[in-house]
Amino acid sequence: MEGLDWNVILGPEGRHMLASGLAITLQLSVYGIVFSTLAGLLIAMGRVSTAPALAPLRWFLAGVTEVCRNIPLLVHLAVWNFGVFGFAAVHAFTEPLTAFYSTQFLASICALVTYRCSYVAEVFRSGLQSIPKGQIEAAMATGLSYRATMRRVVLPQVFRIVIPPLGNQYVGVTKNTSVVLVIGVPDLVFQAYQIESVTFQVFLAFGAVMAIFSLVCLAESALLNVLASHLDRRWGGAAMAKGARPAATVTA
Amino acid sequence: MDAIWENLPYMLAGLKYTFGIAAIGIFFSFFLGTLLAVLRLSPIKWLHYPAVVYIEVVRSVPLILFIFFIYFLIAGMGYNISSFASASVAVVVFISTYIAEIVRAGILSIDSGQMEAARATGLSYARAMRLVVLPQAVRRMVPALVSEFTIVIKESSLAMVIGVPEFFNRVFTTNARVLTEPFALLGFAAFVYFVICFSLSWWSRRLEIRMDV
Repeated sequence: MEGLDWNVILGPEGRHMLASGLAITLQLSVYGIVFSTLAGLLIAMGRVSTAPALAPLRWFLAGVTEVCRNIPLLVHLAVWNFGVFGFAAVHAFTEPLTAFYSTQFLASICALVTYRCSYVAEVFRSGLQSIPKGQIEAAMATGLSYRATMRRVVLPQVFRIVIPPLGNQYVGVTKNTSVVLVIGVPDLVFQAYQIESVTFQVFLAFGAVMAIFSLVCLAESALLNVLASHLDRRWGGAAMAKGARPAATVTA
Repeated sequence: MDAIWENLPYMLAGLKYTFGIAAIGIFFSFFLGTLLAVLRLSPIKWLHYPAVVYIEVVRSVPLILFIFFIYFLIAGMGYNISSFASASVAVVVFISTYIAEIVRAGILSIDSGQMEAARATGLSYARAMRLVVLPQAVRRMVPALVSEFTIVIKESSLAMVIGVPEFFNRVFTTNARVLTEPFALLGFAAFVYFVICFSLSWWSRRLEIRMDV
């Protein structure tokens, strides 16, 4: 082991590599978070539906989420990258996007979403089920349609309940982005690997990236906590008694 | 489909490493995690804060970084360590913090009267924890520990980045060699992981129901 050479991360080249890696990691996180929230919400709403005609949909969604959850993220990533994005038809479809993003980058977003959306769906589902049935009945009795009931009465409450567990899932997305170097996306971990393989500065290369990840994840959960307490102050009610809700923490 | 049959023994032999990492990881993390949880719950400040910092920092960093870091660090110090051993160490460092939180929740779920009564009979804090509180807490934690095991099975696939010949690494290299059947080979990997993890989480749910008395 040689002495610490701070230049490898603080010098112009090192800074540039880390900054470009961070840009990729953050973009993957944001896209992953946005799309897995949308997908998770849709899946959850499908799963709590009660219409008898929708029973096959419910079985299908239950099966898909169970399968997606029990498969490692790397398998999702490989299926998207080597499988789905190997088709010429898919290439034609993603043509306009590949001007800005590599195919591997798009495959990474898809993998992050298919892996995480089942967890997000579970969070939303337990949130939806925690709203008493009487509220839906009361809203419908006042003449609101099912959709208006969902949008005006149920979902606003659900969002407040699910913020802390949702925050855990978002931090999970950010941490999940770290595996994309397996298919060659130049994220933060990839850059740390590059810096290390040229300079042999294990401590600095990986230490810097660990510190960056730590800061991003802690900032994310702090942000969600602030949002939660803001919503509580604004709408706080009986259901949201102070201290009834655990603070968001960092998890897998 | 031929690609699966031809490479089946080679790929399945990797499960030895997958289960190896998971078993070693869970076993040692259980002890380290319990220690961390007890330290975190300790009323002594200089035991409490280091445990909190360790748990929170490790949990906000992805596992793959520990796998790289520990491997290169040990290699850089001049020791010859197998990638399997180094990946197992990384898993212990990482998973112990998650187990610590499971154990902490387990300990907090035990009525505080148990600790008070044990202290009142003259046991020290450490002995009351070890002989009275922990044995009861561990029983409640079993389902959560089983589901943590499924997580470790899934995460052990990350060990491929330092070349551990575990199951997914072998499927990945087979796929890179065959090239023409990604869906068959990767679907096979998905199927194997699904069967393992689903049966474990089904077992964990049954344990939870049986213990829920």
